[in-house]
Amino acid sequence: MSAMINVGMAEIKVTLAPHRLVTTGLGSCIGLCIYDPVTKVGGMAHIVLPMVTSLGEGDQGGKYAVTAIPLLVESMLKFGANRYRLVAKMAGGAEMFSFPGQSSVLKIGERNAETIKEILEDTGIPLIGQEIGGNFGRTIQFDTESGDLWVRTINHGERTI
Amino acid sequence: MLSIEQLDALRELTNIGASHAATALSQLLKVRVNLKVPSVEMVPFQRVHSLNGDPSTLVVAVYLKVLEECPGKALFMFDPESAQNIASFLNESPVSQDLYNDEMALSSLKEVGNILLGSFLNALSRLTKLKLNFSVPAIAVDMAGAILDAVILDGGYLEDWVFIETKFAGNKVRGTLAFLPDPGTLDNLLGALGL
Repeated sequence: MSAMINVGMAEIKVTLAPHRLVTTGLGSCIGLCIYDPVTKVGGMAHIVLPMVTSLGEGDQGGKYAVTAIPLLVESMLKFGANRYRLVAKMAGGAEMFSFPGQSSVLKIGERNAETIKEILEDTGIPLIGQEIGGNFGRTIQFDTESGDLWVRTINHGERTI
Repeated sequence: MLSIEQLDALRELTNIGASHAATALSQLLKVRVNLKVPSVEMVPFQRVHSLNGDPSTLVVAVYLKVLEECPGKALFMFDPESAQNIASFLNESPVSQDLYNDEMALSSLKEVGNILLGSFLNALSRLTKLKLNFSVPAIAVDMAGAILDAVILDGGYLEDWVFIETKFAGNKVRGTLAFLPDPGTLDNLLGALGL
């Protein structure tokens, strides 16, 4: 039986096939999935912001791209994943509301996506699929059996990456 | 932590503000609008996502940023069916089946949200004598979770939030008015009330 494992804001969850990792209603947050296709170890981080914004928050590594990615990789290795086989997919990073003249510094979704891409590149994990940006929310489901990431929206259809 | 006295004062303030918003709405729509008792709650950021129930629920949300002495985020989330009814009443048009692509309906709802939130905020300002100003409204028709996460992250930092909300009930108008004071604003509000 395949279980659905919910990954809440700032959480990191790792599981094995045939289970599925699910996140509902991503706005500017990003659901990052990392996968080892051989051992079928899959992990998801529900990343909220790119960088640590205040001191004394080290206990919640799942919040930030910079801290969540190393933590996710580390727990996947404990599950038996091989570091050199890891691949990544991500979805989310929307700007749900647009205000005239808002500077890009405040575009959290976009900054989340850029930071994650940089860290993956530095870590040597190829990003093989993404469904990011736009002005709409997404619900995602990662299937650790196939490595498919299923992305659903309310008004922009659905697709599998 | 807020004391019981402070919570009561914030609830009372919210109730008065929301009553002004409800009055504005009932004049506009010529219907009765009932208010539920407001709630003031400290919410860990992880829970904000599901504050309106299931994060995948469809809502029509009007959002504006509050500035000056009372900075924060103000949001009205219409239940989609009541949003459709309101737009159809105001535009004297049939109920829109595709709200998402109905520019006319969205623009009226944005204005209704603006009037609602504006009446709420102006009442807040009068009662506390705090100066405030707000941005133009923005609208989104989407999953409640996605809207709430974008709202709390708008500003680029992460906090646990004090979530002040009042539910609007009634046959025609159902929705939630919410105000999320930025860090520091709560002290300004309570200070203005002598607490």
